[in-house]
Amino acid sequence: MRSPITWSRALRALVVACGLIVVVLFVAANFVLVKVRLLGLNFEARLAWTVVVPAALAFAGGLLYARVRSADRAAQQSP
Amino acid sequence: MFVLARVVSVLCVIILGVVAAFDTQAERYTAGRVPAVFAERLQGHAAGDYASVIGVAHNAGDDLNSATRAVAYGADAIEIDVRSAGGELFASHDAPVPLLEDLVFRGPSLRDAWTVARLNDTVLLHLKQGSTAYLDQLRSFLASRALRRTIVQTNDRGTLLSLRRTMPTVKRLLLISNARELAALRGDAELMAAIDGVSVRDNVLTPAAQAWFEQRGLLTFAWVVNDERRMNQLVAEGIDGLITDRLDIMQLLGQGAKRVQT
Repeated sequence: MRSPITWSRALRALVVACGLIVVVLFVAANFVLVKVRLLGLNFEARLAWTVVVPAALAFAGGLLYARVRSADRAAQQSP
Repeated sequence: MFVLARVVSVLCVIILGVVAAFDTQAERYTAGRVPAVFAERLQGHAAGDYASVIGVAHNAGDDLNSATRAVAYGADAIEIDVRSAGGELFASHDAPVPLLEDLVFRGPSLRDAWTVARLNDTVLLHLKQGSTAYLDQLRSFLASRALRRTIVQTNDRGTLLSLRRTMPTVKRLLLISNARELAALRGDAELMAAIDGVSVRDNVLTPAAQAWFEQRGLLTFAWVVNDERRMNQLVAEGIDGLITDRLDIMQLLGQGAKRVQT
């Protein structure tokens, strides 16, 4: 059964949508090939992806870390 | 609002997925098609009077790095695809995303492309549009930029007739992509009188067609010719200009040849 749509959920969905629109525009505006050097590696990649992909991975990692931490705390606080 | 936000989010994710999957196509809308100019070792097949032929770097003006490389290799002329977007003239093979030009399009302006291309005496402009406003923009752009020889090419009949009246000093080439357009030209006396020459797709330019153009005193350019043997054939038959992706061949063509000799 679906949970009811609250204002906070709606606001969160709106923020996510706005964030994704900004990402799409950023990707479109920076869709240019650049030479990337990383620890002795040289490769060509789109400037947009070199920013968006690590940022998305970092965001997902942070989100996962926060969930794990909150689950741990909940487990510690439970009797 | 919630549903709308969700729909927008899903659309954005789909767009990102499509852009990632169709990289080349996406690039065409954000920066125009990148010129395919390249240089390789000459195979030594080149023969004939290459020095009398104008070497044009195919679409090189659509990218400033490619244009600079083409000039360095001795191209006689840089080809620039001219488009109008948001009230400004751009150098781009493909049209940018409508209404989002300022946000997402990063191709060079015509002014920037011209700055590199004018390092040569000749510039070849490929007119991608034909509206009156577009031609007015182009006219005012060229009015303040004197060059020994400006060549324009377009497949639009009306544009060529208009240019004959409004910009008589500009050399006008009719772009011919297929046999049907070639046949149409043969029966169009008014158009024949309005043009200085033709710019013909390589596979349409038969020896008979080339001879026909020569008999009528029309300049003949061929595009896109990258094979040395084909170049030899066209040069032997009296071609006036070769539009090519190959930068190495520029040192044999036109002014490039003179530079190498001196």
